Amino acid sequence: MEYTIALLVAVLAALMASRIQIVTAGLLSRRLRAAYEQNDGIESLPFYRGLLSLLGQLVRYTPTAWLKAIGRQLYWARLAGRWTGWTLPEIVALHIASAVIGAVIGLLLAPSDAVLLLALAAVPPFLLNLLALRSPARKVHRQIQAELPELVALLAAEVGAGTSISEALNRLSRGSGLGAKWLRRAVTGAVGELLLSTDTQEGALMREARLSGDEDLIALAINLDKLDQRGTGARALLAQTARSAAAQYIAAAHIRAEKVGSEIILPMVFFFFLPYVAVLLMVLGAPLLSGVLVP
Amino acid sequence: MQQVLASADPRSLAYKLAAAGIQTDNPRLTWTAIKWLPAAVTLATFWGAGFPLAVTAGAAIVALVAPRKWLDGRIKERGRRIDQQLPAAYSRLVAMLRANVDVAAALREVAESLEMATGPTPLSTELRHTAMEATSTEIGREKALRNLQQRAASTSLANLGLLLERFTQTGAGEGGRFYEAFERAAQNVQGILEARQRAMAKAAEQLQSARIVPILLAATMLFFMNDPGFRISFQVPLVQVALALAVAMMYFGYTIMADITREAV
Repeated sequence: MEYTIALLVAVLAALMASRIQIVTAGLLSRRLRAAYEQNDGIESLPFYRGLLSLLGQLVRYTPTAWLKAIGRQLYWARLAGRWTGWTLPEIVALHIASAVIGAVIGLLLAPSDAVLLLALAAVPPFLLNLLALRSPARKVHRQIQAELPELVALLAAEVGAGTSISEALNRLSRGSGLGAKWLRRAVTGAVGELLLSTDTQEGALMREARLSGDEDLIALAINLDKLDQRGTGARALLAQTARSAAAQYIAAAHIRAEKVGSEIILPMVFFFFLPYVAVLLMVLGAPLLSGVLVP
Repeated sequence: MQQVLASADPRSLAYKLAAAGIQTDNPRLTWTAIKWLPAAVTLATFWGAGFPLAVTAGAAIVALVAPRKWLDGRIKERGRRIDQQLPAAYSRLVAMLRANVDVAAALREVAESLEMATGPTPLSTELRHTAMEATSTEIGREKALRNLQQRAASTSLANLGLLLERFTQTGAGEGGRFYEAFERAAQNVQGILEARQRAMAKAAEQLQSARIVPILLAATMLFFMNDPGFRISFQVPLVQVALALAVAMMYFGYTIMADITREAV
């Protein structure tokens, strides 16, 4: 146990030492001055978030695939108003910190049981990811997917009335719902630059769609870019896009409704059947074991 | 209630209660009663009836969480009820706007037609209120439709408001040009909403089977409680704790499954 604690302390000390950098006097004074000048507008971070920066070195070694997956989850969760102000490295550091806390608890409870130790280290980041990131991200993503066909239909109506695609997107971004919120994000990102792509420059809509990683949004952005570049026939083509988006959604909704049965089997077994069987066995077994169970 | 929804801050208690269909003159008192009263009553009833402590605590926790969930569910339910009637409203609006381009009159007529079978509904009330605002000289058509978008409990209704606002702005359809686009959009949205309703009904069907298990557990437990041979089991603290945990787990599991069902479409 003593060796484990010593090892942990050594790792922590090494991490802290690795963050200490030798800086020139000029750089220090510039940073100090900048900090004083901007102090009014800056919210100080809570202490625990400051501590997360200690794990900055470990975040570097996180596999790229994990970083990408957490980045996507963070993107959608932010659209629901969660984790605003948190950066991706901070979120990854939070996962690592929860794993460290789990491992420390494991060391205290069962220092010699490697399986339990690993399980206790793995469960907190898994639960954190599942409940605080994946679940809200999934909800928002589904909501956007559900709203998108309606949004495309409205866009087609706007363009059908002679409005330009950029103006129609601007108008729709003022609407309510998560789809409009997503558009608002793209429109806000386009301040000072183009909303739709040209041959030489990527537009804010395409960039936002790429960041989201959603295939439907990327396809929509590509379509709108192409229609805008073509200049003619946008009305008919967008009407066609709206029809196919609606048909695609209708088919997908039907398939998803069919799949609900298989999706709820696992929670049904875990939350319903297991407790049911456990309680039943205890009730049946209690009189037999009453000598052991009843004081 | 419609007045509260039209004027109150969407984050206020009064707005939340009105959106859940609860009419009250004292929102704070009603809110407190909904939040705490069921838990207090459950605690007193279970304790008074001589239920084991763990079961009483489990039931009280469920009674503490359930009313909040119920209130959230009622607020969402209003949006779902609006969505259910929207396909019919869309098709009637398209027909009425073809005959008469006055949006306010069309909204009033659609509201009346929706109320014919079942009386006032959340959608008919919204449409009637918008029509009333649109004909008022102080508010006017465009502002009334923007108000509808802001307070709409359903995104699809807000979208309808956006479409109608554009219809009004284009001089009632720019001599048929926007009308055609509006008609196409209405058909698309109508198809989407109808498909969503069907899919939701199908998904809800799957959840029905899951509801049987807790009922089965309750029936089995009641049977064992009345059996002299097994009655002793319920006095064992370990069984009591397991029973309370099972109730809490089933409630938690049910909320997860209901979420999966709702998210499906």
